[in-house]
Formats: sequence, structure tokens, C-alpha cells
Amino acid sequence: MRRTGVIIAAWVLLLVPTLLIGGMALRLLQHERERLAGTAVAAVGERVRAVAESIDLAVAEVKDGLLVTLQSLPRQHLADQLEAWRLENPLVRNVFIWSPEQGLTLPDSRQPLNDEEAEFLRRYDSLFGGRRSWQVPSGDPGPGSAGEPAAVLFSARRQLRELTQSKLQSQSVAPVADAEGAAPPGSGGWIPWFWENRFYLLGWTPSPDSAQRYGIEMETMALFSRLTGVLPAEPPAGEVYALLDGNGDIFLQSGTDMVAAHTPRILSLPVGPALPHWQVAAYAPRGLPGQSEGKSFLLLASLVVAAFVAAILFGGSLLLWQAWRNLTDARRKTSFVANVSHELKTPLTTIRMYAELLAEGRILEEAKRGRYLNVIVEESQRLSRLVNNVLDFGRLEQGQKTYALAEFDPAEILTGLLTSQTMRLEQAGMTLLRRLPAGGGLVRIDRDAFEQAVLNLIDNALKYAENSPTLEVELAWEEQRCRVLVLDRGPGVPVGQCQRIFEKFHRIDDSLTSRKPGSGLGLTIARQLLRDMGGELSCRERSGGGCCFEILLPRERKTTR
Amino acid sequence: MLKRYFFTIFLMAVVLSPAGFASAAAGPLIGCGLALNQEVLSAGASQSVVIKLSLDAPMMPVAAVRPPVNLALVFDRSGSMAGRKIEKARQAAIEALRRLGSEDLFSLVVYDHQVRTLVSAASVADREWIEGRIRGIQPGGNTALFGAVSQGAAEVRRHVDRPYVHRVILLSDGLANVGPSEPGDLARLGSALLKEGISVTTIGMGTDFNEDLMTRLAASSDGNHYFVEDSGDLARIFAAELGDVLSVAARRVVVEVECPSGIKPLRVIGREGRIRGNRIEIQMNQLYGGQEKFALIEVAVPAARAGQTLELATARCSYENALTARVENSSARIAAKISGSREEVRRGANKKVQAAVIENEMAVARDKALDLYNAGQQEEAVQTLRETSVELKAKSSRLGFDDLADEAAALETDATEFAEEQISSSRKKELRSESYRVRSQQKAY
Repeated sequence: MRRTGVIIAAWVLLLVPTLLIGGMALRLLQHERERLAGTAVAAVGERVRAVAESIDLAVAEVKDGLLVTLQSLPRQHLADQLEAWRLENPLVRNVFIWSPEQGLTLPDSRQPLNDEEAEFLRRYDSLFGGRRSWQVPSGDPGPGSAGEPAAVLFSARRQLRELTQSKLQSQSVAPVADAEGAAPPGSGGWIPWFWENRFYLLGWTPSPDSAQRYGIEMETMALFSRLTGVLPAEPPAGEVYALLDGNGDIFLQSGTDMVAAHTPRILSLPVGPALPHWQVAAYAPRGLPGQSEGKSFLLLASLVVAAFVAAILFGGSLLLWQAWRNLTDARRKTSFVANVSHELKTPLTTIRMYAELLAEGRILEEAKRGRYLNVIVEESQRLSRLVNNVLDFGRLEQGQKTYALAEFDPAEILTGLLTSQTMRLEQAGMTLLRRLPAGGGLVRIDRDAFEQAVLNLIDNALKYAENSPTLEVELAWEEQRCRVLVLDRGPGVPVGQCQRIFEKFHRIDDSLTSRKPGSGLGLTIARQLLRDMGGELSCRERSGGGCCFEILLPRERKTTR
Repeated sequence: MLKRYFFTIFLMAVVLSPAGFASAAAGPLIGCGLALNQEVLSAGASQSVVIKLSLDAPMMPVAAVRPPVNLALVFDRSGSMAGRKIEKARQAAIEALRRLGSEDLFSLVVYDHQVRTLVSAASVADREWIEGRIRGIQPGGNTALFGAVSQGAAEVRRHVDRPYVHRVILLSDGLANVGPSEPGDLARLGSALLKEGISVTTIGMGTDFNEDLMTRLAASSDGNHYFVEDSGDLARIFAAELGDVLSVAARRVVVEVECPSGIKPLRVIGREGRIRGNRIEIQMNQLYGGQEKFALIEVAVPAARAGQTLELATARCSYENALTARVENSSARIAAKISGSREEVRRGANKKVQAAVIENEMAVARDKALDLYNAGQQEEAVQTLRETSVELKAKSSRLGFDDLADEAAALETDATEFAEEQISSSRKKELRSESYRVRSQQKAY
């Protein structure tokens, strides 16, 4: 028992650290997953930032470039110069010349030449009519601004650009993000214009020698059209980058998946002051980054950890179980050897005692001598049965037992066998009752093996049911098989032990069996013999006390009547 | 008559001359001509006359000397294209590709909600690889039309400085639902591309595309527009388009028509044009060989005395010869006789010009009616058609062309159609594409 306790303790010692290590591994994996997700989001953020910055700068550069060209246009025949520029440059949609006194002189505000000019006049009516200021309030990128911070993103490139701007406009008082807004009154610039839910850009410059102002309206569609290349061309799978226009609608997108209203957005950043209200956004249609991959990563890692834990536990348990089995086997074998020695010793002592008495020649009565000799014969028979059992057990264990199968009437065999055992039973005070209907059928068995199996059952009854007044042997026939019952009125077998009594070396561990010497092999051998011949042996409780052993043998079909 | 005679001689000279086209480049390649719908005007009253400015490009003599083409095919692969449509479109694209030569450039942009360049602009030397890419196009997704056209244009733009015929062919069967989708926005894009010398031809498939968007994009960039109801016709359409693209004779055509003082230009019928004082400017991105393109300019002529000859206009046409990449000019002038005799005035009516006027006026009226109809102003649409019909009939009768008056009566039938419950989407597309074809003098397909 103490040894078993040691084994259990060892198992617990194995279990606890293994589970601890498994748990810690899972915790570390969770951390790793979060770190990966964080890295993914950071990378997405970096990409979005780069896109927003490059759009902002591209637009700013276009604005600067157009303004510089506008300012460098020769003043003679200005209208013709502007017209020619409009016809030639895809980024110029409309051109205008305006003065506070005369209003618009190009295009002619009283007589627009086509629909486009008429639209232009309507669009900027409030500006040219003097109802709207030409200067954009600094920090406010345009009317209706949602208050987006102008310098949301710090960028080295943008800062560099602002540096050049502040040099150019040395009279500018405070450095502001929006160069256009920062322009002092009268120096020209760009006016972001919102008209009928659309975004326009109007660039203008004052004439140095008069109050005249002239400028252009940018062809925003041509500008936007050039932005198609700014989004990452082949974004990582599961990520979609989109440029959202002022209304929050997708203007451009890159990435294989579709984006709907409910698609989870990883993050979005405003493009910047160059395109007010425009945003660059990153979406994750297949779940936020690190979520889907993280899930599968975690699952896989957990499986690996679980497999490791299971392997360690299984291996350890196997070793411990092996040790425990070896322990019990050794214990059983020791008790087996002791039992068998005791079994062998008892008949040997009897034989020796009677043989010595006879050898001394002091027993003169013929009847007494005959009885003594009889005892010697019986005891040697018992001895040989015991040795046979041990031998058979060895053969059965190694699978070397051979059977000489032939067809027999079991009633005949049983009658012969029981007749030879009647005396032993009577000496033990047991009445033998047999119900053996003859000619019921045939079974195909090895006669000796069958006899030994039944004999072992009788020995078992003699040993453990010595108080039983009767031993009954019954033979019954069924459709498919033959049934032999050996019944006694002894103390019986506890219900839980009905299977275990057939295990080798097993002996019911109680006062009854401990008093009786035995090898613990009889029933094991009997069952094995019967099973080898296609039969079965089982034990069950008998109603009214005692136990009932049942032998089943397959009926030989050929000769059935 | 005389002009036609000369033209025939010119053509023969081109065909017979061993040097072929190049020798013809000595004179101006493009014939610029002016004609009037009334060559004789009645005296004593101010009136309006239509001047027809026609530009004649000669038939390209042999295919070998055609100018090289820089073609971007922008291919809709949205979910609605699945099945037979995409199959036919792929075939048609491959057939189109086979007609290009090794000196031509080809690029392929496919789009659904995402725009991807499958083949960057490069020589079509590796045909099999390109055909493989075309065959690999699979449908699925939304329609990012604006981005796709932009991307196609970007591909063409890589070689825009070189003397190619720059062309984007847009194939779409659905409504643009990613990015700008207003016809006006696409028209702005088209006019910006026109300034770079890039024309966008739009091919609308089926009955679900936005015909306004497609025609306005084509119109603003001087491309062609085709309406293909049955995808089986795609191969034919591509062949027609390629036929045009491969026969470009002149590029960046600018015509300036100047009227002497007193003659006041009123409007340009059917085409985009700018009237600045007494000058009219008309721009075309290209002229196709063997095809006449024209513009109809209505001018107001003041009252004059009989017997007088009135200078009405001079036209200067400047263009880039597509073969030699040199800028050439041609010019024409026109005058009208003033007569007191009714009979003389009647005889002076030019039926060809008047027929063109009627045809274009009808197309303009149909477009306008369709715009009104789409805006929900059905009654106004019907009204427009009826009024135009009456007006055109009267004008034609006055000039003595009763058959043309009958033609104008066709607008009455259209008015009846517009007055009914509903006009099918397919019929609208038919009307729109037909009007576009007439107004831009696109070849019948």
C-alpha cells in the first residue's frame, strides 16, 4: 500500500508542474498574439499615414506649381494667356479676371459662352459678388469644417515644405500649417470652395499694378484622377485601403475585399489641409488585424501546448502504471509460488507419512494397509492434477497448448467423470446431484481439456464450498449451444468479483480464501481451455445462496437431429 | 462637284504613288471645307444661315504606314459581367489585340471595386502572355469606374509624349458605385484627358449601365460610344473601334472659324464649341481616315442688298499629321450671294447641308428630351420634341425640301413614345447612343 502511495505522489508531482508549464506557455502565447496584433495595427497606421501625407503633399505641390505659373504669366493680353493655358493644361478648368470696380471681365458675367461658364459664374457668385471673403481664415480649411486639426500628422516632409513657404512669405507673422491661409491679404492663394455638396479649388493672384485679381479654377477631377497611384497597390491580404471623399464615400480603394457600411475600420486619418474633410482609411473586412490570424495562431499554439502536456502526462503515467503493474505482478507471483509450494507440500507430506508407515512394516492389518495405499494413490492423483494445472498454465500462457478435437456427447463424459469423483465428494460430505439427459446432442471438444475444466470447477467447489450439502451438475441443450451448470450452496462469490476470479493469480482476498491454500490458477485455466475450444465459462450468483458456474459450448450442427 | 473630282484624283494619286502616303503629305492632308444650307440669301431681311464646316481625312492607303497606337483597355470585371458577357468580352479583347502590330502599345486595366493593372503599357510583342492575362480575368465585385479610367489613362500617359494615337477603351456593363459616379464628374475627367490628347471610347454592355455617364465621358474626350445590348456583338464593336483607332489620320485638330464683323455666330449645332465674339473654336482629338467630320454653325446675317456677295466666314484648321507628326494647316472661306429672286434663293438651298442640320437638330432635341425625361419632366420633354419637329418641318419646307420635312416628323413619333408611361432602359440607351453617333459623326456600327 505504501508503494502505491509513492506512485500516486509521483504522479501528482508530474501532473502539477506539467500543467503549470502548459498554463505559462499559453499565457506567453497570448502576449505574443497581442504583440503581433499591435504590430499589425501599427504597420497599417504607418501605411495610412504615408498615403495621407503623400496625397496632401501632392495636392499642395500641384497648388504651388499652378500658383507659381499663374503669377509668372505675362500681363500683356492676360485674357488670351489665361485662355491658352486653360485650353492646354488638364488641371485648369476655368480662368477668370476680376476687379472690384468692373467685376468679372473674363468670363463675361453678362454673357457666358457656354454651360460650363454659366455654371462657373453661378458657383462663385457670392465670391465675385463680394459677399464672401477672398481670404481663408487661418487654421480653418474651409467652410463647414468639422474642426479637424490642421496639423494632425507630424511629418518631416511637410515641415520641410513649410520651411520653404515661410521663407517665401517672410512677412507672414506666425507659422501656420496652411500656407494658403497664412498668405497675407492681397498675396493670392487657394480658396477651398464647397458648392452643392461638391469640392472645388480656386486659385488666384492679385495684379501687382492694379486692384485686378485673376486666377484659375482647378480641374479637381483631373487632380483626383492622378491620385489613383497613391494607395498601396497590393496591400496585405485582409486589408483594404480607401480614400474617402468629403462626404465619407469611398473614392478609391485598393485591396481585394469589398467594403460595406459595416466593415470594421482599423483607423482613418484626415488627408490634411490640402483636401479638407478627405480621409484615408484602412479596413479589415475579415476582422481586425491580429484577430483572425491571432485566433488561428492561438489555436494552433494551444494545440501544440496541449499535445506536449498530454504527451508528458501520458508518458509519465505509462511509466508509473508499468511500475505499479510490475509491483503487483511480483507480489502475486510471490504469493503464487508460496501457494503452489504449500499445495504441493500437503499431498507430499501425506504420501510420505503413509509410505513411511508402510515401509516400517508395522501395519499388519490388511485392511489398514489397503486404506493407506488408497490414501497414497489419491494424494498422488491430487498432486498430479496440481502439477498438470501448473504445466497447462505454462502452455496456455505461451500459446503452445494443442487440442485434439473430436465430437463427444458431453453427458457421457460428465457421467464418467462424476462417477470417478463421487467418492471424493462423499468424503467431503457433499451429495452429488446430476441431471444429465443423454443423447441431447454432440459438441466438438478435446475430452481431456473439458474434463480438466470441469474437474477444476469441482476442486473449486470442494475447496471453497465445503459446507454445501449438495453439488449439482446440470446439462441442458439450446438451439445453438450446450449449457453445463455446476451449482453449489457454498458462501458464493461477491458480485464485484465475478469477473476477477478468472484473472490469473487472483484470489478473493478474504478470510475464507486466505485459509485455503491455492494457486489461483484453476478457474483461469478452466476458462482459457473452454474459450480455446470455442466455449465460455462464467460465474454468477445463485438465487438462494451459493454460486453457479456456467459452461457454454457451441453445439455441433452437423449431427443435430 | 469640283471638289469631289479633285478628291478622287487626290485619292488615286495616293494609291498609285509608290511612296504612298508620304508623298501626299506635301499638301495639307486634311481637307477643310465650308458650305451653307442656303447658298443664296434673300435680300432685305436679316436671317440665320447654317455654315457647315467639314473636315475630310483621306482613306489610309495601306495599313503598314498607319501611325502607331497607344491603347489601354479598361475592362469591367464586376459581378454583373459573370457568364456569357465576360466570356465574349475576353474573346473580343483578344481579337482586338491580334489586330495590333508590334509597334503598337497595349495595356490592360481590370476593375471591380479595386483597380488593377494586369498589363502595363508596353509593346504587344508578347501576345501570348497578354492573351493569357486576358483569359485569366474573373468576374466579381463592384464597379470603380472613375478609378479604372484614371488608371487606364495613367498607363497611356506613360508614353503620351511620343507620337502615338492615344486611346482608352472602357468596357462596362454597370453603374459606377465606387468613386465619382456623376456623369458630370466623368465628363470633367474626359475633358481633362482630351487636353492631353487621350480619347476615351466607352462601350456600354447590356441595359444596366449609365448611358449619360458613358456618352458624356466619350463626348468630352472625343472618343466613340457604343451600346451593345447583346454581348455577342462585342467582337464586331471592337473591330469597328479598332478600325477607327488604326486609321487615325490627324491628331489634335483645332478649327477656328472667324466671321467678318456684322456676321454674328449664334450657336454650334450638335457639337461642343466655343463662340468668342465673332470667332468660333472647335476642337477634335483626332480625325479618322476616309471619314468626314463636320460642325454646323448657325450665324445671323444682317439684311443686305440684292446682288451683293457677302463674306460669311473663313476657317483655319490646324492639326498634327498623324504619320509625320508635323503640324499642318488648311483653310477655307465662304461667301453667300444675296438675291432678290425667290426662285434663285430656292435653287440655292443645299440639301446635303440641310439634311445634316435636320439630323443634328433632331439628335440634340432627343438628347434634351431624354435629359428632361430623366429629370422627371416628362411633359416638357414631349413639348420639346413637338416644338422642334414643327420648327424643323417649317424650315425644311421653306427651303423646298419636303422629304426632309417628313424626316423631321419622326420627332412626332418620338414625342408619342415619350408621352407614354415608361421608356425602357434599353430604348433610352439606343436613343442616347444614336444621338451621340449623329452628333459626333461616328461611323455606323
